[in-house]
Amino acid sequence: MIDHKLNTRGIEPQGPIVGIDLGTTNSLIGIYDGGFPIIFANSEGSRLTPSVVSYSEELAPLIGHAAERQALLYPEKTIISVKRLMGQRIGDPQCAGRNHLYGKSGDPLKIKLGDKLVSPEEVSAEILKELKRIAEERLGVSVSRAIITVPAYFNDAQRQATRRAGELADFCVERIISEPTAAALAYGLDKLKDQSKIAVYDFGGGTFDLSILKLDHGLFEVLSTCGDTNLGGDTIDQALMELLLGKLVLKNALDLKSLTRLHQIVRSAKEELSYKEEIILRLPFLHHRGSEEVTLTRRELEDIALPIIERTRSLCLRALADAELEAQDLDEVILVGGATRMPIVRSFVERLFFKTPNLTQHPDEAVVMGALLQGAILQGNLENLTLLDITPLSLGIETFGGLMNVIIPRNTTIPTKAGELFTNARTDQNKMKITLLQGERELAKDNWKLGELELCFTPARKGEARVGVQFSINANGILEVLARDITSGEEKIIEVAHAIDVSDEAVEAMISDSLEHAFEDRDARLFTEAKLQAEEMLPAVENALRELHSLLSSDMQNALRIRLDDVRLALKQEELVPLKKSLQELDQATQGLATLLVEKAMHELD
Amino acid sequence: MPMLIDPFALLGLPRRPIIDQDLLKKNLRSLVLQCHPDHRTGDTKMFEEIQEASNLLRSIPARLRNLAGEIRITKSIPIVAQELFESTNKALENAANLTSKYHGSTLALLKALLLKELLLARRKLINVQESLHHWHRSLEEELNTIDLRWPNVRSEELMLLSQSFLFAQRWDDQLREAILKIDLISPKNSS
Repeated sequence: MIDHKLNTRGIEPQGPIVGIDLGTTNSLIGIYDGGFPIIFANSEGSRLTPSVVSYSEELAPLIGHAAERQALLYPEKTIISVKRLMGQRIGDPQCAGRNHLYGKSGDPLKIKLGDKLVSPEEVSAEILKELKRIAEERLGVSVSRAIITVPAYFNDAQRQATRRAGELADFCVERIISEPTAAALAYGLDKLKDQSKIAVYDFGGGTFDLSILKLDHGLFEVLSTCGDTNLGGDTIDQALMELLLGKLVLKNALDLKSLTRLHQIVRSAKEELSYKEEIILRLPFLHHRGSEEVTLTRRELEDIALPIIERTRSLCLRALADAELEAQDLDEVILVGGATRMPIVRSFVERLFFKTPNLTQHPDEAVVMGALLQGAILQGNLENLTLLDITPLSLGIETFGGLMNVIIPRNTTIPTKAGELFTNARTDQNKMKITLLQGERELAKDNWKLGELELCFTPARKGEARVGVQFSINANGILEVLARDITSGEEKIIEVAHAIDVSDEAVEAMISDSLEHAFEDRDARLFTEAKLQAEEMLPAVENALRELHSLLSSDMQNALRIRLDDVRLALKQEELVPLKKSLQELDQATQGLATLLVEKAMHELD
Repeated sequence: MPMLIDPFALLGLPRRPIIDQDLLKKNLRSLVLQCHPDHRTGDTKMFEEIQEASNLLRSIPARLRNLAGEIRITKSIPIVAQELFESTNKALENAANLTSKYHGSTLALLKALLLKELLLARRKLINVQESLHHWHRSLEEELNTIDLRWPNVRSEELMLLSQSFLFAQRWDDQLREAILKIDLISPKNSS
């Protein structure tokens, strides 16, 4: 848990610092050399190297385009979007829908490849090694120092995992920086005399971030950030995949190979629909029964993409509120990330911020550009530029009653530290356990548990033993903890016990416990839930019918009454399936009623 | 761990209740540029001290507590604010209940009904916020008089004022948060 000094003075690593954008779908590497930023092309001539790793039994893993091709033949040995799994534990929401994950609930997850297990860090390290190879080939010298970018909203575990991946690839990771902040550096490089407030809307392959910055004569200050590490272009891909599958004549004939191929086709279809209104996908020999042909329109894509893009709205509003700004206060809204190429994203941003978005930055390259600029800053080559980043998530400890007590609030400038004084509650108390949390929820259990640490008290009467604990978040956004015994003056760096260091038996007991009860309880619980819903819904609909009487045709009223009777009947039967079905139908039938009620309420309250 | 260094001295400000915000900004900026760990003149430890000091100075309760020489925060609500505390709590609880009910419900009609209640709850929050702002203004006046009398001020006075500011700001934060949560739901915010 401790962020070891990456770069101990005295044996300072030599050589240039490269900047790396380790993306969900694509990765890039570059350097600031002789006053110019350069992004290196891989051996296929592309600056984007797909973040795909394909393992084989005999040979070294394949990375990038080669791995993408390999995926069509050996999908079970190929890993995509590994970034989503960084720092995750089994059972976390990001694991949902992923194949070949392995591990017990609460464990750091592993990916199963045949009879081999690899960690997400190891997979990421393969991508980093490939990038390193590309840079070394182009530069002709060995490269060992790097800046790696991460989504702004990455938590401590995700940042640590990224740093470990860098170390596994033999990099000395000089700094972990946030992607939108990096993009802002790229944007602001030629505006060092300006003073402005900007927002960076970063909608990448797998993550979304919105950061608000103040640029003031070369000082780049991040004011607030908000995001979702599980929302990106590939969320749209998945939805488009569903749509496409629904259109296929023989979707049951698909196997893993044809699904992998479809996945790649879906992605390029999405990209193509950014500049075409309609495309026809011809899919020869998609499955053993033959070929298929499907038409997709931009309209269809936008219909499924809009609800996903809408999810960024509340995050943007939250970031604005945290920065204590209104949308109108912003001078520019900069778009980065591949997904911002979609016209619908651009018009969404325009409506949200009342501003034509700024498209001057290359959606794929702005982040790596910022990373290599940060490398130049650290090497002293860009002295008139200073970056003040923040910690995206509040750090706190669990207090009595299971609440979260914030010690370092979100959006605090880093590096930063804060102290807390702990004292013994009883005379014979010589130890105390503290649970460290990261997140914004009031209840401790709703936040991400970073781990636990144990404080030791020197023997003293109740309330007289005192240990001060200093929590610092370093420039990489990674936590360090230092304890000082106030009475003895002794100082000690504390290792935070990793949250997953629960004994195997304990975890197994937890799992078997929940499994045992799962089946017997499930149906009864679901029925009770549905029953409660029904009991709330019935009078509500009756009331609405009365209230909106004059606005509804008698046909409509009768139709609603039939639905109500269905629900009542199902309640009497005490059967789960008919009750759920009738409730669903009632919900469908009352959508219009709900809209009318909302309009009425808004009207009355205005 | 309490700060060992005088935050006022560190940022080049006179040690008194009211500080010159512009001067704070100016001094902070030059110190930040000098100490930022990315630069050759960088000094992480110093940078953290500066951040901690400026966070402390920017917060009125922390600043007053520092002037009073107190480390610990006592958590009792000032008597004059008891009533305000109760109405704030009631409005917050009501809004939190409705908000979580709204997010828990999957049926459109029930959501529509809750929305009306939520908008009413929002109104109540705004009302409480207004009385809170009123109290905050009176606290600011008190801060002014204390600053005029400086350094002839007892530390109990500083602590009471510090606590009052602490609660006023905490409640204001909570109210703002609750209002924002309703605004994120309300259809006024969607296109």
